[in-house]
Amino acid sequence: MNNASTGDPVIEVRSVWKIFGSRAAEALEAIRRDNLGKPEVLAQFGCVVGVADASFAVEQGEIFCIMGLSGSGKSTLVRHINRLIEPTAGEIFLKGRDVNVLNEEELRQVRAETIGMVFQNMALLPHRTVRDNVGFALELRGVDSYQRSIAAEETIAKVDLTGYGDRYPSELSGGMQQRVGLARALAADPDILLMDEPFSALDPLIRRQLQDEFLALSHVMHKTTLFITHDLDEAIRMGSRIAIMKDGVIVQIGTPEDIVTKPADGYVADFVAGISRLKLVFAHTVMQPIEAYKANGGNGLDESLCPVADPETDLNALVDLSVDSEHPILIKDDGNAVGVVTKTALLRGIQGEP
Amino acid sequence: MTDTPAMTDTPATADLGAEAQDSGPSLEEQKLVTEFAAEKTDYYSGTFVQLQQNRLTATHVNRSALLAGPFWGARRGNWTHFWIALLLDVSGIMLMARGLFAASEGTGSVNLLWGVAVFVCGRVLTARFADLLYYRQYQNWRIDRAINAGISARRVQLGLALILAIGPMLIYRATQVAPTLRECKRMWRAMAKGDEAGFADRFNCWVIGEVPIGKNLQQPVAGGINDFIDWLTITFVSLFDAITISIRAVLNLLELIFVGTPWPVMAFLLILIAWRTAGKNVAIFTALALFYLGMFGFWQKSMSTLSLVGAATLICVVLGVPIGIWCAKSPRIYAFIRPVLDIMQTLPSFVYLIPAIAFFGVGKPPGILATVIFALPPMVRLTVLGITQVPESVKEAALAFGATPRQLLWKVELPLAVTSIMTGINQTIMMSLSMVVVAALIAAKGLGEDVLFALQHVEHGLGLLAGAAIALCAMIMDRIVQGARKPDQT
Repeated sequence: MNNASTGDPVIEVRSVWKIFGSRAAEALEAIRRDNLGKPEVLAQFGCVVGVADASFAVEQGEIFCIMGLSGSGKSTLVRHINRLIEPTAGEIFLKGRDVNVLNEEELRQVRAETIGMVFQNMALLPHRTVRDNVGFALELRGVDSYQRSIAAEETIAKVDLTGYGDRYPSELSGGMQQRVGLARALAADPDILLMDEPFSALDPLIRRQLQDEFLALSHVMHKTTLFITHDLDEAIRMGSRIAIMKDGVIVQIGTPEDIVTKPADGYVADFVAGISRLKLVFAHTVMQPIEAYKANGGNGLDESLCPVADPETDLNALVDLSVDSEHPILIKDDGNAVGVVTKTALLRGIQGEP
Repeated sequence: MTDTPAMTDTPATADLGAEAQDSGPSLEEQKLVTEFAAEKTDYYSGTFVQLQQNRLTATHVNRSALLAGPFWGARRGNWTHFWIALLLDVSGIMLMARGLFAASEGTGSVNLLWGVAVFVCGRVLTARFADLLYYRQYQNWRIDRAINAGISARRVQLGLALILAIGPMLIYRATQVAPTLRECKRMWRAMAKGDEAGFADRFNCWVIGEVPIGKNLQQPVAGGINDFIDWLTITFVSLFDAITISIRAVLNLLELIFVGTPWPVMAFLLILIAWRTAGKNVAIFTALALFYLGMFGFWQKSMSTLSLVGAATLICVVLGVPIGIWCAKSPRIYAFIRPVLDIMQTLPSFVYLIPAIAFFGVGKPPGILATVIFALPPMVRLTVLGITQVPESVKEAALAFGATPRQLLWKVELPLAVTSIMTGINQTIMMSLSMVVVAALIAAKGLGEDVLFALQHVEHGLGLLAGAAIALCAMIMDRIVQGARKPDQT
């Protein structure tokens, strides 16, 4: 937690480009010069643009979601963090350290000790028991078998799989296998977690359960997490902030509330259209400033009769307050009245219209 | 607004659908067939509908195809039809020509009749299936408009050119008796002395029979290879000796185990291994097989064969697995190695037995080497298969946790490839056993020797008994190795 105050973000991605194809460098130059689009690059250079000029920073302990549909480049982007994919251009810093200049041994060390990764298809080693899978990263770093099994058992307990250490992955259900995947990523106690659609292959109930458990775990462990998903609901549930990707470009970065209330373009707006705002939108967004309310003829407001809430109360809680009273809700910040939420404003806020 | 015309449209299309079911094609389909067939569109759209409804009668023929033969295929751009029709036409005509012109004793009229039959049946058959082929072409054309459609005079010309390039020579050949190379040489010598030779004879010597330069190239090159092998034998004598000695060392160890162990101990151990690795049934089978070997006096020779096969297998694994790993890692190397493996597997073994004798003399080591050449390819191939089929995602995960290339190989790729590698070992053992008779030719001893003896002295009984002994040895080893493989497949 102390790292947060030192200023450097844990993960910083600066103008990363990834262009697939043998003429990538040429294509990139042409894109920068002539502002070519994806189809033109494919036609002229036979190159596919995977990631285009992506920049973002993730702070200590944050869960940063990257949301996009298949082919939007989100999985490609996350593989740049541990350099499973080399960028065509741009820089990636982990705690201020440039990943691109690491030599092979340094890179392996970073991968084994600083970064844990969870994959959509689990990618467990079928010939190893759960314990040996979990201890894999430590084994690669030459940790002896005794230490390894202590660390592995500890992590197995964290993901609620105590007693399954001697089973093979094939004996476990999908949800349990992904817990093993998570445990494997956590076993070496990395600072950063990369989660590439970890729960996408699971059925909805198990997915929900694992999301909750991961949130709880994350609350305790404070791992800086980059979470990839194609599911906006999941992104909103998990993310402190969300980046929305389309065709390799990050269209918008913001808190779930920002994304839902102020979509950057029609694409994002279409995405968030069906999302329930009850737990995403807060009083400060729907309230009318107290001065404006009074100016518009709300002078007869009897503050003592109004239910009171603070600006960070979500719409769900405001509804509860509103049904118990005939008066508008008074929003107070540090004891000072800052705004008013009328029933109309509340209903419109739930609807998502101004 | 937009709904109303659609509403009125619906009954109309439904009517069309009903109509199509009864008789004709839908309008859209008709338009497509018209575009595709260009000519006689009514016939083809009707026929295609009949085809779709499985109503094409057994006697249905395409009359244009019946009359025009390969030209129909060429004109319609259906080259499958063209080549099949051409083949059948030319075969028929060749037989007829042979019947008419090649004067051979009494077979003339038979050939003539046979030729007419082939020609007529060929025409009828290709005309019967022409519409099927054409329908398939139509379906492909609907997917990809670059496929031939319509009719084209240019394609007819191309077809004619092909027929002229192929047909006349084939038919001419049918009327002639091919001269042997010796006859031709005699003629050429006579011509060199100034004698006249007929055009037909000269033409036949050049075009029919052996390609006229073959033997001239063969002799000097074969001679060169002979010299090269002689040179190798002399120059690298110490290398060949070293190879012989190392193979013999491996073999001696195995013979110590198999031949040196008294038969009761060996039999007990083999049955025990079979029982522990592959279960009760295999143990009983092994006991019966060993009983057979003992009762018919093949024990020593079987054990000698097993040590031979064991040595060959060991060498195959030691060479094959690393080569396989290398090939799996580098597609370029594999592109180079693969044809070599093909040659090793298909080259008749006698061909390399002869140089093997030159290099290594006779006896067991060259026998083992010949066996290795034959039995190595499946080991390499299955190792490559095993390693390349390791899922990319698992490898990626290992790399993401910081695996070095070596760790990736030892901790991920090889363990996941082990099933495939064990299959490779199994194949290698089987192929080695099939080589024991050939190896016996260069005095590699063992059971193959008995088979060889039986062959040379027409001893049917001994041959079958010894052959059965080889088969039993193979089965024992196969069952044990397969049994040993199973517990790993969790």
